[in-house]
Amino acid sequence: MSNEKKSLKTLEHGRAHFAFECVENAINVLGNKKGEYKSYVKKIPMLIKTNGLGLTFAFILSKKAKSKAYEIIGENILNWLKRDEKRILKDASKIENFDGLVKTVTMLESSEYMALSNEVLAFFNWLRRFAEGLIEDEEDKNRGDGNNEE
Amino acid sequence: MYKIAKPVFLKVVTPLHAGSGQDLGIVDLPIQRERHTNFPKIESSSIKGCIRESFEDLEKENKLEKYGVDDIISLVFGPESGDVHASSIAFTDARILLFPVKSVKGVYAYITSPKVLERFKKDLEISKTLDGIKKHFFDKKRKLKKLTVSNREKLCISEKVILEEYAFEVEFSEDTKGFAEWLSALLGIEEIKDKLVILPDDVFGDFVNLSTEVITRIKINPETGTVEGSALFTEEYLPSETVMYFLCMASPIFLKKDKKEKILKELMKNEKFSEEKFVMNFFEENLPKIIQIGGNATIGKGISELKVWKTEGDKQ
Repeated sequence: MSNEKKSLKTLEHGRAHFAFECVENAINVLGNKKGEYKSYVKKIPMLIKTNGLGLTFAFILSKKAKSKAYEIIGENILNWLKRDEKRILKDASKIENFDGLVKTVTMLESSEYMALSNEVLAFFNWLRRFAEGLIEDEEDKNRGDGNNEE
Repeated sequence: MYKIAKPVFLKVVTPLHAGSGQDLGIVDLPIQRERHTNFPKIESSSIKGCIRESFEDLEKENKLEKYGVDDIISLVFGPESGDVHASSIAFTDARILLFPVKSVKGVYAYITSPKVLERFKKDLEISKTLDGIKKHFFDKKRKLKKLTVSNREKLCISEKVILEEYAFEVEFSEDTKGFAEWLSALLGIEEIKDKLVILPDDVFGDFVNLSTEVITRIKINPETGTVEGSALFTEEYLPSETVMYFLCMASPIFLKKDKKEKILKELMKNEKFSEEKFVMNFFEENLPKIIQIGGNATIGKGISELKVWKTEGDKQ
């Protein structure tokens, strides 16, 4: 029973707790570029739904050299899969970086790939909510202090 | 209470959005889904409302005068307000039967799963339509197995069917082919014959979650001609070609005795069948072939074809 309780708690709570930390960390690291992080995090779930996980990961990979925000998002995904108690991705602990994760995804079986897609979507659901809640809109800010940070 | 039931098939012609309101998922305006399976559904209240509306249109065009009774719609569908009497016709939620998914060969395939077919069978049993020649597609000897297709040439590339970005190793099955042909004739949808794939339940569940149509909508500011700041939202739709079904059930007409006798005399004339049969016939005779269900009617969404299952012994 106690185990059962624990697993129920850890599914959504685990995702939520970790997503919150990810967003807090992104805000600290990115400073005035944090708006980018927010808009990318909002965009990615729809990219996964319309283009599939593999292509979306490839897209993040292609962007992360030039964009710190995408680099952080890639790290967020990998770190979550490493911490995920369900072990959707069996050998997650052995993967060193996001490039490694993309390579692993290209070798997955259909059923594993689908399960991973669902897990990443579930994680982004939290990430997106917290990013929206913790990072204020550029528009609001511009109205506030007249600074344009573009 | 309800004495007779008939399955009605619903084929989605233009993307259909039977919305569940707000949601905290990745889509702002998601479609209705069953709680325990997460398969798409359409609430019976949506269906009943749309059908009632189409009957009211008929009444406006004076096409229901032949029944010789005032307000026959209230008799059958229940009164618009108050609780004078109940409706003598009922509908169940529409359930999914076939879901179209992009296929590398054949443009798209119709997917279904053993669990979906099992439920379909149960619902047919409820409505007593499984009798006679149809039964053998569901008997114990002929199993509609997962990972089988109705036509290998039209769907497969070397033993595999490739749906979206997933490849499945499938085999051809005579039973699946027979079932697809039967369903195709029943619904009048030619393509089912060549496009049916039975997938494992889990995979089917993933497809009906991940492969629905999602449309992003914006609002243009008429003064500037550009997008308004945060007026961007996403809507989920059941794709065209989806096939669903629901049961239509009929009971005797509910009315206080003194009123009822007079009305029945007028309605039934000297017909020899029961009241519930009259209700069912009234429904079938006047049901439009094309109906609009769900949201966004003004942008052409939700147009669907309805087809009542004809059973033997029906008044043709």
